[in-house]
Amino acid sequence: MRIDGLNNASLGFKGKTANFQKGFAKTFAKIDGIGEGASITFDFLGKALVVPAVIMLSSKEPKEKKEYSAFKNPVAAVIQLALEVPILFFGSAAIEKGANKGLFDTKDSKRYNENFHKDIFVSELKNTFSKDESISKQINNNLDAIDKKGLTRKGTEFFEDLIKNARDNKTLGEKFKAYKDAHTNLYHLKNRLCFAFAIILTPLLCYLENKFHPIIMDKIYEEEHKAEAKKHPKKSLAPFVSIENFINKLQKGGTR
Amino acid sequence: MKISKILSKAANSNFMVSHIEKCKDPKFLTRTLLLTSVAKDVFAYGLRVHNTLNNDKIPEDKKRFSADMDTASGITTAIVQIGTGFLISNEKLQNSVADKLFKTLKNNPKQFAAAKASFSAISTMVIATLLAKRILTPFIATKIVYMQEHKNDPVNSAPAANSETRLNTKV
Repeated sequence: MRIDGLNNASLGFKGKTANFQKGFAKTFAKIDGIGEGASITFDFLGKALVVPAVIMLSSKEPKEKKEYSAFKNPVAAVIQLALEVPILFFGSAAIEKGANKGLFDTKDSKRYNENFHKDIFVSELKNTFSKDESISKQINNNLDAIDKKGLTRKGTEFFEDLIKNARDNKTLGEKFKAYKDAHTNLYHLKNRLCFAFAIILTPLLCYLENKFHPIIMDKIYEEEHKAEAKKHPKKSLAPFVSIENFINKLQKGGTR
Repeated sequence: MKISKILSKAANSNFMVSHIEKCKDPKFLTRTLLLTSVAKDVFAYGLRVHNTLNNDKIPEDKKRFSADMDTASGITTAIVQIGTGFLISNEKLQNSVADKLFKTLKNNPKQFAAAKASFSAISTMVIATLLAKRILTPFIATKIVYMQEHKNDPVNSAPAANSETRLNTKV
């Protein structure tokens, strides 16, 4: 024990590094479902924070010009986020609902119908483990988790291990594979269709950005413009084109 | 009804079925995410240039600069992102990095594969869409636009003063 203690003390830094590495590795192993959502998040962070900073630091144009171009990006990022997140969220939900109702089913395949394959797997699972009460509680907990969160990496690992240790596991393994494949197929389909919707809506996004950008820029530069207007007042054409002025001039001309 | 039929046809097309099969490979998935991001950017930059040039509310001098900036950014972002993204997602590079970073998971092949797949996607996106796209692209694009704007300037004239003169003459 004392030797262990000494070893730990002398390798304190290594121990911490090893723990950090372990935690780092486990964190990455837990990350699930990197798709359009992650892509949108990275895009937003970059556009809203990084681009303006880089334009301001690297461009040699006058400050006002740089600011105008730099501020365009956070405005665009917020509008983009406000459009893309609902597309992804509601689009994904709608596609999932449609797929589970059989919208994408064909005569030969139900590759996107997750619920169909899930029901078959659950029924087979209950048949296989109906007599084994020791494991049924764990199975029910994992099935509840699937109902709430969908098929997660943790759930997949649980069922794969369970099937591996089961006696007659060939049919159950096939049913689970079909369920897992349908889940993966549906996930990628949702991502691709949401990407297609986002592309279709890009003109709207650009239109909104173009509409709001000058308004926001005007607000930002309002004070600056006011100060400039005081320095260089513009001559108004109104006095020359007003009817009263015209009549006055005519009358003056007449008296002359 | 029509939309659902179109969607169903698209989802079951040979292209989509084979594409989704390929997405099970982490390297292919990472590169797909990268390309979809680039496609959205290039399309958006193209539209933005068109809209900026046709927007009368933007002052003329800022309009040209903004449009040039977007054109240069659109072209540069595609080249830089695809270049760095494909380099980072390279299997040999990812294998060697994963072997060093996730050696604590070597005894658990499933967790190791999961960690490797996540790291491949995240590292590619961070380097391509945050660093390359957001730092390298504006840096290169601003240089291109600056050079283009001042290519006809006399050698000794200060660019800032030149821009100021142009602004003043318009006011």
